[in-house]
Amino acid sequence: MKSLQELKRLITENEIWRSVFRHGYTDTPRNRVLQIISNVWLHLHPAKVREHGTKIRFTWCMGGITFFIFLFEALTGILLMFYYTPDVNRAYADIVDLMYVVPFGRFLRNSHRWGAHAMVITVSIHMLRVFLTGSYKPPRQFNWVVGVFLLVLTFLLSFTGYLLPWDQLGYWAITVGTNMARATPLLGHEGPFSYILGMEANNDIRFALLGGTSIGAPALLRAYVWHCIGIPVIASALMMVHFWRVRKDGGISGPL
Amino acid sequence: MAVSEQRSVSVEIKDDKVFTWPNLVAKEFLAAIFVTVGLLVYSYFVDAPLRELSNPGQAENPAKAPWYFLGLQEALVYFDPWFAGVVLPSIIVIGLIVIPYIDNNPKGNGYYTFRERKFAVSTFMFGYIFWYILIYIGTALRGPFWSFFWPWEEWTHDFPTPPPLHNLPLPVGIALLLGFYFFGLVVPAMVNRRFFNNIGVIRYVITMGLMVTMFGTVLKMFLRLAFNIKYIIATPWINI
Amino acid sequence: MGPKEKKESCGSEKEGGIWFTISRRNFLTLAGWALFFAAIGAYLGELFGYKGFFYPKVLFEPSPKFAVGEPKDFLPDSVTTLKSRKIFVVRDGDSFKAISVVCQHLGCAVEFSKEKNIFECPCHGSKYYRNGVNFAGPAPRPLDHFQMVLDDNGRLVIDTSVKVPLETELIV
Repeated sequence: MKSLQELKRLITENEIWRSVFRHGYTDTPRNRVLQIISNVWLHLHPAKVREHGTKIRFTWCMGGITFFIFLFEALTGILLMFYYTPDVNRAYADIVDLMYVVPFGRFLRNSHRWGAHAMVITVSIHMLRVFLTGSYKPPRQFNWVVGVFLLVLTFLLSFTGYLLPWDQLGYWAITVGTNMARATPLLGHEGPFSYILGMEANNDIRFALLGGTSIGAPALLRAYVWHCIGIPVIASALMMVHFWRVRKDGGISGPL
Repeated sequence: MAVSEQRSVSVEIKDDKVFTWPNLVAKEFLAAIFVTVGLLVYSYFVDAPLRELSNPGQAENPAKAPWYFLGLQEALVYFDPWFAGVVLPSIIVIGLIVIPYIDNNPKGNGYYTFRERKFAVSTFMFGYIFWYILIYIGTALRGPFWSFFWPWEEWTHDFPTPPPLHNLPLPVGIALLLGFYFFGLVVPAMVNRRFFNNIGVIRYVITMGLMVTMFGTVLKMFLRLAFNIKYIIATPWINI
Repeated sequence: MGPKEKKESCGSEKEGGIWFTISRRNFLTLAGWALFFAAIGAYLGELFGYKGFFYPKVLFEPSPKFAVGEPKDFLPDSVTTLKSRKIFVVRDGDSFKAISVVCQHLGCAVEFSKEKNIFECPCHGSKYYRNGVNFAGPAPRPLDHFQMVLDDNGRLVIDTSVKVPLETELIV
């Protein structure tokens, strides 16, 4: 134990360390406040929170974990983008390369994929928790609405990512998924009453999603752009609102 | 005298606030670490699925959507795509959005309780659990050609061809559907007047409309399974 | 009292018009906002609206018309699957039919089951008889039948842009 103290002194009490960290951290109430409000990341939180809001058995920590997984997905996703080309002739080969050739690639792809599944699970558990604690009740109604949009965006993020490997699994999942859009009443050419608007395979809503009458090169590129840029940007904007409203609506809900 | 007064004041002020640093931040940090470790360990041992190169002429058998959409895919067996794939999800999303505005019960705000909001919690839990049951059926119990297999049965391509389906006659179907919605919208209001008066006409119609639709969806699945009914209402323009 | 006086000063009410009383300043404010939202709406409409940015005008997709071979290439009383073209060529004696592979439910590729002599969809279990008529599962209607002709070189040519009634068959 004594040697550990000595080691600490050896590291911290010298000119180099002192030149970087000018002073130590004394654990005072003032410093605890400053840690939060003078930190660009942490000042998302208020300096003090009600105690029940820190209880894992109350919040299950699911909202925070969902946000963390989103960041995790962004990081791994950006790394995957270095090796992936959204082109029908190359996409599959790039993924196979990631799995077998690129150092660390298999691990990255796995964690991106499982993180996506985990995010869907945590976001749905978060919704369950918020419902069970009645946290959507006044004054938090609107934040629940924002949360529902974020839930939908999570599904869409995962769904658009599904096509990118260009394998049988993704191809047919997206075939089935976008053919549902084909059946939209009025707007899809297989949907009820679509003949009123004169919908055909080459001008309906599915056509706008895929950029063609079947899943091909334009569809892959569109899925890629929506997955990597479009939806994350929209989701980030909504997340800002979501977190901001948590604070402005009185913090994590609790017994009044 | 003065001392005791001060004490009573200090009891009244309810300040259960704690410092975010380190009480909350430490827990968040730990949660982030556990999630990362969990994900990385899982990713190390389990490979993400990757099938062969996509082939537009040869569908996967069974071809399944991502697991969280398998509830919808399972619903597709019982409904036309315009309902199961578009209208039903839209109703679910809209239903979720309007929850805060139709639930005007002031109790149960910010704590776990079943007793004070039995109706809300049981309805939501029914939908939530049913959604996951459908996902389970779609994931685990649907084999080749999307035919049903019990967990103890082996997936084969050799299964009896299902019996042909038939539709209800149009007048019967329309009467059934109208009767069902009429029953679902009117009877609860008559039986439980207090509930009706509490939430008002507009909230009542939206709430019960959503709820009757939810139960109707389940009921239609039951009709298909029990009586091989394909459509309740079959017209050249729209089928339900 | 302020707003009320302003309203009277506008004048149109005195003349007994049915028009809303609205001051010039308010009118210009409203008009400004209307212009703003109209411009945003027009922009978004062009972007996301019907036949806007997301509807490509030129497609690079395979031609709907293609030759599949000579009649003798197909065995009598057989169903040949041409996967890359998404077509079944059904031959019964001298009659030929071109039936689409695409399931009418959600567009999966149906498969021909030789033992049962039916088409089955792997996605949601729709089933079709050999002539393409649906009989089980969620499929709403029979499989598409495409036009098939014999060209000058004696080859069967299928045009997937032309759908024909179920009874249509090419007798060679």
